[in-house]
Amino acid sequence: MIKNKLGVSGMIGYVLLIGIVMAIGTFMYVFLKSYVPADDLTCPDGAAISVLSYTCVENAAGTYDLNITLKNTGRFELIAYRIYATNGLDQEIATIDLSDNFVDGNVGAGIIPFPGISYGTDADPLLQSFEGITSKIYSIDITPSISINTEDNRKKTVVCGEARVREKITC
Amino acid sequence: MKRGNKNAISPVIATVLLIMMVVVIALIIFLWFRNISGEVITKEGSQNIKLSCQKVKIEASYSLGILYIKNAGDIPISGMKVKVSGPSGSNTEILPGFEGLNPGASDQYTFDSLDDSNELELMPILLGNSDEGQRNYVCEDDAQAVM
Repeated sequence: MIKNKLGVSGMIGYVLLIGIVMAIGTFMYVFLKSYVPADDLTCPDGAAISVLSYTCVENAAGTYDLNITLKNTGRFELIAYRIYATNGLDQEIATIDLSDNFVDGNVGAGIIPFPGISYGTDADPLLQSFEGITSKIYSIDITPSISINTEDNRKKTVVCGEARVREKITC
Repeated sequence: MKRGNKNAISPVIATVLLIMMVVVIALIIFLWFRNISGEVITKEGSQNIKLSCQKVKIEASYSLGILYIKNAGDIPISGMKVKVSGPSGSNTEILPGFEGLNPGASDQYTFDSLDDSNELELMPILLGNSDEGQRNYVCEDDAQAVM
């Protein structure tokens, strides 16, 4: 028969208990931390672009030239845009990238930057020209991008998918 | 026969053994649970890539053997898996010719192995970070039906 019925002393018991709780807590923190959503860097409501007018003509080479007049009709400065076209009447999603046909300015990875640093809300309408489009187009989709500041004061470009505008085109 | 000292080991040794056993058991449970939960792939800092999968927005349509896809969200898509389901079962394959879609971009792909009885689902593949470097993750739980 054992006279001392205590397994470990009270102090050791507390140390073990706290140690185990801390180990489990650390494990749960590390595991669940990745499931906490980070702050979304999304385009705010109020970004908008409009197509004021357009002309689309077939040139002598049998290709098409498109001129569009854009206006920033939102509340934020725009920095660039993507433009895609449909080449079929029943085509729902525009997939013909027109950035390769952009006449003036540098284009990178399908993104057409606005002249200067940005295109402000009070700026004049902007004429953009696209030449040598090989197939007849029926509509264009324009998706603007804006620049927003991150928490660590870095600039990040975000695409404003909700501000996309579609314009039917008759060439 | 009666022993004078009834203690098998000293309390100090017992405590050290106890703590070691607890640590070893905790380590075993940790490794076991980590194996069950799978490798954690993160994106956008330390955010789990499964959360990024929920933010992916795809617009897609299918017509006459051509699959049209637009990335309408803010997450770059590095690959695409296509799940075709029909009366004879389902088949999942990498979409041929898909080379990634940046936010706002769109493209079209020839995919003519479908008929009217088929159902088509798109599963985007995202590029994330893990302990072993960059890894692709298939958003199977956030597949999007096209037809």
